[in-house]
Amino acid sequence: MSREGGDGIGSTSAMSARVVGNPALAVAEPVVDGPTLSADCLTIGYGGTPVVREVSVRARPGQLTAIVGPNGAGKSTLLKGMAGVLRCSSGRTLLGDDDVTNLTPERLIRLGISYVPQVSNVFASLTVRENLEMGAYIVRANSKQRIEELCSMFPDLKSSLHRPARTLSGGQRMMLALARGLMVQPKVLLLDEPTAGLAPMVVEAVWEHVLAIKASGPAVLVVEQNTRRSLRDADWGYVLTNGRNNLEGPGPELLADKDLVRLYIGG
Amino acid sequence: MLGIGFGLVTAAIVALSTVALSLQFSVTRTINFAHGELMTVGAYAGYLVAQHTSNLVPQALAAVAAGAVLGWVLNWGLLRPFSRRGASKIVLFVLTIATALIVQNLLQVGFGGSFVDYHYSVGLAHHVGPFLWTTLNIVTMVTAAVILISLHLMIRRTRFGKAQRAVADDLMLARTTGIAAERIISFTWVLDGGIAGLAGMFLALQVGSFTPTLGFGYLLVIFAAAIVGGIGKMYGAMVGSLIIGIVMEVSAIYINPSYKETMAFLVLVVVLLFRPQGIVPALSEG
Repeated sequence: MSREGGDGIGSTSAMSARVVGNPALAVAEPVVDGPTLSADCLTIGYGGTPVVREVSVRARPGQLTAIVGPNGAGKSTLLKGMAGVLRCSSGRTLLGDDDVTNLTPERLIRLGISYVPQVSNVFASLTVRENLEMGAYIVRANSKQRIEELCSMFPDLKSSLHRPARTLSGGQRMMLALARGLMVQPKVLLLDEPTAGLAPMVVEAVWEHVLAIKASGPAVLVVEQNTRRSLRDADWGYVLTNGRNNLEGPGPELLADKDLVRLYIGG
Repeated sequence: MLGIGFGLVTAAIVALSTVALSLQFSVTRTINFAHGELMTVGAYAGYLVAQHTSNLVPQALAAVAAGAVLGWVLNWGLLRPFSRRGASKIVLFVLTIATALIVQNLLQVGFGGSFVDYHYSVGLAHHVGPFLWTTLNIVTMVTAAVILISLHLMIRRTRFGKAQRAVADDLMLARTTGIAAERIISFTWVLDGGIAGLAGMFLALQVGSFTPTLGFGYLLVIFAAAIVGGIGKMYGAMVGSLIIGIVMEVSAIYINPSYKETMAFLVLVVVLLFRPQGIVPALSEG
């Protein structure tokens, strides 16, 4: 976190989280000038002991940022807090320089933060086309054209436009959820375990889409159970344990870290 | 045949009210025990306007307006503030019971507890195929049909209708997608109230005289029709209403009119025994 020198973000976590590799070299300047989404010392819970404690992460435009860690580490909770689904009891979320902490989900999507939850991420009784239309609810105009674009990006969806989403396979559902999240051309895409429960071939397909999305400009922040796969392509990775920052660094370098592999990945 | 003819009229009224309830329930997930009062205020509004004009259109508009206002107030003034403070669905349900009682008593204060007469100049009866209907019967059925078809088109074709279904499917997902869920829910209550108010007016006209408990007395029939069709399913509600309406009127002729409602619950019990999910299969759920 030293690379941010003095802006205060992540200053608490810098004391506890170990940084792997040389961040100044590893993180290239963003190729796109969209805003960065930063969580600054967020504490989030469901009432009772907080699940996420003073966690700081940042997702830069044009980069894939992965949050990994063991079950129950608070990864998904962190994402929900940043998406406005859960209230953060302390800390801040910043989009660029704007404080967006605890704004409603309806506000956040209008600011360009699109969230794709892990389960129930499509409207089951709506058709695929209607799901995409709802994805563009806040833009209204040009949704037809955007649906065309996304259909060419996700060819699977094109043939099922008139099917209710509940009839889709797990992989197709995820593709639809991604496409729905992209209808608004977000500045930041938050993905909660996009490959959970999918067949290995489908997992690869989803990852290819995720990489293509980040290459197109937005900041992509992904929470993953599949540590090895997500860190391989992550420009920056965070390891969360017990609801706290534990380790961070460029994905591949984290993977090279023997302690991490031994503790959380195995083999 | 006469029974089926009356049954269709009753079914039309039940259907209006049940579909409104079903739509409201599927979008807001709140069981509204004050649904009958939406009907009752509609009936009184129609009755009040009828003192000045015999034209049915302004009476109907008043009924719609009264129901819509009560629906909106119920949500905005009561349910929303409570649910924002984290009230459970049970608490909200109890609130609607309280609302039902309060509205009934307010109406009693205003209009007294005795029956008021509310008629529409019946005119001649018309033979339509095997059925014998008054002008009012026909107006009731045509209006119900037009409203139900419009609702279908709204739900399927319009941005608002799709957003309603999205909210019904998954409220939080709808919100993260940017759908203004609170506004959708608010409009749904207004729509529900308006349609129920109109149904209340038609019910009162059909019966000829009524008291502040008009809608409350009908509430269980509405719930029966909604459950028979499958809770929260709009198309199911239409089918359920048709069955309940016809069973009620046919049984009134062959058995005894005072067992009308008992027959409706008999249907409900039978359906719950054999198809607790409602008679309309999940595929057509709306």
